[in-house]
Amino acid sequence: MTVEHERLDEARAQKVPWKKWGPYLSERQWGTVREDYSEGGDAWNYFTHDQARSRAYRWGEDGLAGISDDQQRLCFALALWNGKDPILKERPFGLINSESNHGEDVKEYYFYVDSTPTHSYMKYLYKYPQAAYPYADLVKTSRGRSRNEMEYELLDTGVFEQDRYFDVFVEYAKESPEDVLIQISVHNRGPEAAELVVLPTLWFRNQWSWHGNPARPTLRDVSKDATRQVVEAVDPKLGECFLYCEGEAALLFTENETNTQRIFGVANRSPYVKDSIDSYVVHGQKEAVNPEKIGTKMAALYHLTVKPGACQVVRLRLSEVAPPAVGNDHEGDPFGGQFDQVLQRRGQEADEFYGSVIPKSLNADQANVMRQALAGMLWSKQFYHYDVDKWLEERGSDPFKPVHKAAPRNDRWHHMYNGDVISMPDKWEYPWYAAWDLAFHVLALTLVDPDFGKSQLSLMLRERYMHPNGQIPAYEWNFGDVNPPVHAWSTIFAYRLDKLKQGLGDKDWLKGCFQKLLLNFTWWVNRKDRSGRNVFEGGFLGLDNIGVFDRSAPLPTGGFLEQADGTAWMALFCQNMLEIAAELATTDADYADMALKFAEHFLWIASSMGHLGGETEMWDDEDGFYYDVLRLPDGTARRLKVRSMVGLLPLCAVTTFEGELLKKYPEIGERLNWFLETRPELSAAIHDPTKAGVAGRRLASILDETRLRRVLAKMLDENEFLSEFGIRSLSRYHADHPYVIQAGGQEYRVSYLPAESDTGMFGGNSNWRGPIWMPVNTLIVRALMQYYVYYGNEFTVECPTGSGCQMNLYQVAEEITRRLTSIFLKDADGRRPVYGGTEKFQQDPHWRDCLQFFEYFHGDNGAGLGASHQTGWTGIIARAMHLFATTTAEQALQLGKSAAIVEIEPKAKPAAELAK
Amino acid sequence: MAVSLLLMFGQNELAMNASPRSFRAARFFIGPLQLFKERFMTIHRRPALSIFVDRSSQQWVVRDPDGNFWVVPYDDNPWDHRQPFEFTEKIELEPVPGHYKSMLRLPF
Repeated sequence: MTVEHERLDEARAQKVPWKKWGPYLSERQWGTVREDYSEGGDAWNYFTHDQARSRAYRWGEDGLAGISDDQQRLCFALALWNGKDPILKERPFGLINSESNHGEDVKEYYFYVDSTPTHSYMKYLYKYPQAAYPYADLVKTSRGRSRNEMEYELLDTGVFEQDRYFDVFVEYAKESPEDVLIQISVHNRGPEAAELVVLPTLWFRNQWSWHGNPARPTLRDVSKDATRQVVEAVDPKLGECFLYCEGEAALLFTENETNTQRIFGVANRSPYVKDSIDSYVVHGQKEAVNPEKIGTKMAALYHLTVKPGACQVVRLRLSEVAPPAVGNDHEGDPFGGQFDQVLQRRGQEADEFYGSVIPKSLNADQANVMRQALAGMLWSKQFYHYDVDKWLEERGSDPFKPVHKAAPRNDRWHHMYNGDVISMPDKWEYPWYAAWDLAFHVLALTLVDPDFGKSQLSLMLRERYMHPNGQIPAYEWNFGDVNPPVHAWSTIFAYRLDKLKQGLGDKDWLKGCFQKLLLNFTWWVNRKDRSGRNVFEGGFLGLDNIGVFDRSAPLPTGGFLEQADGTAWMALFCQNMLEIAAELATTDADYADMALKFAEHFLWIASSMGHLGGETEMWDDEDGFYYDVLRLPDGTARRLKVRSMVGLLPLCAVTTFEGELLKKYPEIGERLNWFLETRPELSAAIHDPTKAGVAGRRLASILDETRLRRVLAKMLDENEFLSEFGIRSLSRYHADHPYVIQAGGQEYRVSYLPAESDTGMFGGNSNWRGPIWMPVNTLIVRALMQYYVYYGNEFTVECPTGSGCQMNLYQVAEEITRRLTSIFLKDADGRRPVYGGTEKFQQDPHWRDCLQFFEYFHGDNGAGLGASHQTGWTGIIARAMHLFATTTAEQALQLGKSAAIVEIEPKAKPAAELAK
Repeated sequence: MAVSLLLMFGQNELAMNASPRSFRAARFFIGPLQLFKERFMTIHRRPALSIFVDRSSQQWVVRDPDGNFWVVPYDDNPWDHRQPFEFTEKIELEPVPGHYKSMLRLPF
């Protein structure tokens, strides 16, 4: 066990608050729904980046490379000024939805280099140009580009030419849970000496302005001499802590309060406002900061001149330890030799920790990818605060008043109170949780911190999150949107993993989740099965523009859709609930009945995909594929024959069972058999659940062997779904054969688009018509493993289709994972497909090993697209890499589902295979 | 009391550990509960109040629950110093979020 594992254990036992301080500061609080008080709900334009430096936030804070405590009372982040920018660089800049040709996009280069799960060590890199940051150019040029053009990126502006930029590394190392060492290393990569103002900034989140005058926290200068600056931070709830600043730095104090003069045109009550440090540094307004050196926001000003190729270091320490005692050496020096030792030791401990997590069979590049993926997952934690009831009241939309203004969104979610550290999809582009993303995040997070993963799943089921009617909140733009129900799947996975690690399953946790998931399941059944025939709708279901119509809007044809994906998701949900119930039934007979209930419910749902509707069932026997069915008001129906991920998801609704439940409760088996015998039509069009496979396993699957082979033939065809870099969201077939439908005098069309969308559907930032998305690829890999442990080595398919190469399904799963992983790895020419044609990232030694885990990937060349820091669900590549490095086909057959979580001694792979 | 509150709010896992092994641990684990309590203990339905800014005169304007409009100065005791607001045809009032009422020290 490594030292970091010991810290995790200490945190689990609730002895030590190792996770109290972490990267919980968002990268964008402006432009969020929470800060939006506009009449029409125009969040992007209501609270802008331009206002952010001057206007106090209501619900959170943001910054560069920042940390905060877990209730975000006190924040620390980096601010920079190159002497040329019109404003301090206090937060990442990006374009809002309407400014960019492909939706919102951060226009900065920053990297999550490292983090341990307790954040005992973290490292971050920000690349800051020495020339003036091209704010206006980015907006103007991007606005002028069409949807058919590439995005205009910061590198395209030329601001990094001649390498005139600083690499600013920020490292955090915890000496103890509440003693955080901070080292900022500034490297000048340019050809000439360059000046940089570094402003480590400490501030309190403004709560005092909004809560009826509660006790106000304070920051004040308590320095004894000019060479060791000390700031005392006192908050009634947080307590007392100190920021130590090495060397001679001017301490600038102001208040984290709105500059009402600038924002509202009304004179300020006090001259010390949120942007006073900006006024002092950028505009030379010396009177802007408080000469009394007291306030709620402060920065230590370091003016550096860095020679070309050189590095300068700024060191600080945020500690609960008061000045006389800090440092633990005889001089009480917070920056004595101990500082460097701790920083170095924590870095080594991080190496040891990842040495135990990353399979030894991975080569250096693979290990780097996996470590940065996990670091990104951990850096993407954020304190998320949103009291919806309060928010509605503050905008005059109090739902309990007889007369109130309509709220643009979320007025039926007034029960919600969120104030927790949550794993975000992307702290700039998506700085709000998304329910189904989160379920995928847990798969990766549990590699390093199973407790955090479990806590995330519990959180969404809490009464402060889940709607009283059982719906799990989707995301703040509309909590009532419907996301795919993958929570139960993630829950049983996290449980099994925990059981394996701890030796005993946390059944209390599993029971708690199960009860809440029952509510959620019932919500689905009662709300999304319009006809009561076990076929489901659900709208866009996370796949945005994948359909020919906006599936969440009234259809232009009238009528409604029976969705292949919605129904498949519910079949999977049933299987997962059955798995949970079966596990609970091993020690509690009450759950055996529930297991049977879900077994039967699965059969109802699975069979509905095959036999309902006669000629218009979802399965198309001619194409060998599943489609959504459009039911028209006149009673007719037709399949919408778009070959997309929608039709692959039925393949993912598959789970094997080892048979423990039936051994322990034979009467359950008898009842299930009776059910199947008296309802032969239910299993007629699906896989026969009574048929034993390898090791006597049973298979719950919508697809029987014939249909499975037919769908796989499409999926593994490189002219259809199989890309060199994974499974596409839409078949390439539609490049030459667009799907077209006429409705209401209008033509609707779906064509294969391997990269960005060419329509404004879903805000123009929806891209499910070709690109490769990691979460659904992971589901496919999981499904193939399930089929493999049931069918075994005898079941082979041609992969790729038409290649003549036969593979069993384990090999197919491994092959897809290899293709997915290759997105990030250097190829034979040393190029990473994820960075496409961006030569700086391909060639430059200071760029080429810095990885970004994008939102989705080009369907033909693997280039990263969309949110550039969506380590969130793309971070599950770490889990996929881990799986195939710690499991063999033989072990999978032997262990069944456990193979996905049991860590076998890493197998040594032949060098030739690694080189692939 | 603390334990019963924890149980009441469904934080059994926290309640079971409400006898902190150290002050530090107590601060850590009580944190989320405090936020939760703050929320539920401070909810009381307030009378309708609207805040605006009149950029032309650079003043805060408040509509009280009775529908009267007032100019309030941005000082330490704005409500006592309020003055009736006179509408003219050219005036455009820009809504200000409700949470500014505390910042403006309004007694609602």
